[in-house]
Amino acid sequence: MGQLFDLRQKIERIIKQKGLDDIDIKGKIGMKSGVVICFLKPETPDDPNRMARVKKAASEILNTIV
Amino acid sequence: MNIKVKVILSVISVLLVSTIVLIIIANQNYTNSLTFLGEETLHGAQQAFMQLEQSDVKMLSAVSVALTTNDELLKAYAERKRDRFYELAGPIYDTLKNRYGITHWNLIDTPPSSVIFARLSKPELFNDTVRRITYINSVRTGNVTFGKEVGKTGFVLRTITPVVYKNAIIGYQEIGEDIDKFFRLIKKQTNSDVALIVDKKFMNHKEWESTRSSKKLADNWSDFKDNLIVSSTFDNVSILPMDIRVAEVPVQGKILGVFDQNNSVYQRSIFPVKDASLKTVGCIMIVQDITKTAGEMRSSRIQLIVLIIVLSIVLCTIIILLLQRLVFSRLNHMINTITRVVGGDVNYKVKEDDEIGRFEAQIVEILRNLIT
Repeated sequence: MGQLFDLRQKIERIIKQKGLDDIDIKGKIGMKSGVVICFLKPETPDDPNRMARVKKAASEILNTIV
Repeated sequence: MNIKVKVILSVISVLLVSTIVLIIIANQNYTNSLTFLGEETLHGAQQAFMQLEQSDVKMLSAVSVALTTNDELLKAYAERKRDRFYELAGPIYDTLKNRYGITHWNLIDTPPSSVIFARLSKPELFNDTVRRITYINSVRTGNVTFGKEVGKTGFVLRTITPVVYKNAIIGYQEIGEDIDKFFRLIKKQTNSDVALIVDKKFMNHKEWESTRSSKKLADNWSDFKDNLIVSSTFDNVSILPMDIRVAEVPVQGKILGVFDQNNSVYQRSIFPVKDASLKTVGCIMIVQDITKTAGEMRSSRIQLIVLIIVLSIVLCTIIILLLQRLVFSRLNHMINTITRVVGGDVNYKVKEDDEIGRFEAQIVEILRNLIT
């Protein structure tokens, strides 16, 4: 439990580091992966499939290996 | 391929096809207008020719009847006094020739000899046998007959009147004229050049050569393979088509189409000429110089085609801009809105001023309910 939330935090850190539009980027990752980022909470159960989809989408959109 | 590209390509394709169709119609319209112009000229010339023929038949008949009532002439002919006849008829013939274009005045004996007793146009020639259909018809019916016939000099319009002396037919009087003069009148009326073309099989080369020579004209027998230009109002025979089959020219005439030569444009049409036996022996070619009219029509056609192309481009641009503004930019806006809502901006405002706006608002509302 908490892997997806950790991933959300990682993504938010990268967005902040790169100075990007938080809402826009998270929306794009959500649209691409089919997972709404702001839905990811510490209690969200681990799901390798969703994890992989979010990672892939985030890597493509942020142009960084997440 | 995305929808935008597909729609734009479809719009361009439809407008391109429409433009091509309109250009074809414009070209067709140009051709039809030229054909209509040719038909008008052809019908005008045909009418003029018929009217001139009818009018001249009346004139020739009247002259012939008047001459057959001249007692002195009748007496000279009845007594077969050729010299006396020429003496009396010569001055009358000169007047008829100079004033009215009457070129033939012959007296033909009754059958079975059917020989020419007197020929005013060539007094030294007589005693040759006549077998012309107008003569044969007059002998058969005992009435005045008329018709066009191919002679040595070309087409001649003739009337044959029985000559009655002391209640008996003593011969037949032939009054005729070359129909060349018709062409000058047709040219005046239709403003077109005219040529009379006769199938060579109805003519004799030696006789024709002799006729041309007497008129101090070059022998034109070899100008065309099958046909002979008997008379024309112009010299440039190269604008006449080489391959006319006289017997196949339709009764109502035929438009031969437009012909360009030396920066001039000519419209050519043709109608058949039948002789007294109703056999098609020649045809009359109408050559109309339509350089000015065709130039104006071509210019109008080019202007129309340019206008069609410009309008198509403008229309295409307007449709694409409208589609971009009203559909594609709105769809992009919708994607952006949904992205922002999915990204967490649940208070993002949507304009609901049209169908796409209302659809966008409904989607955003669903997403908001799911997220919050």
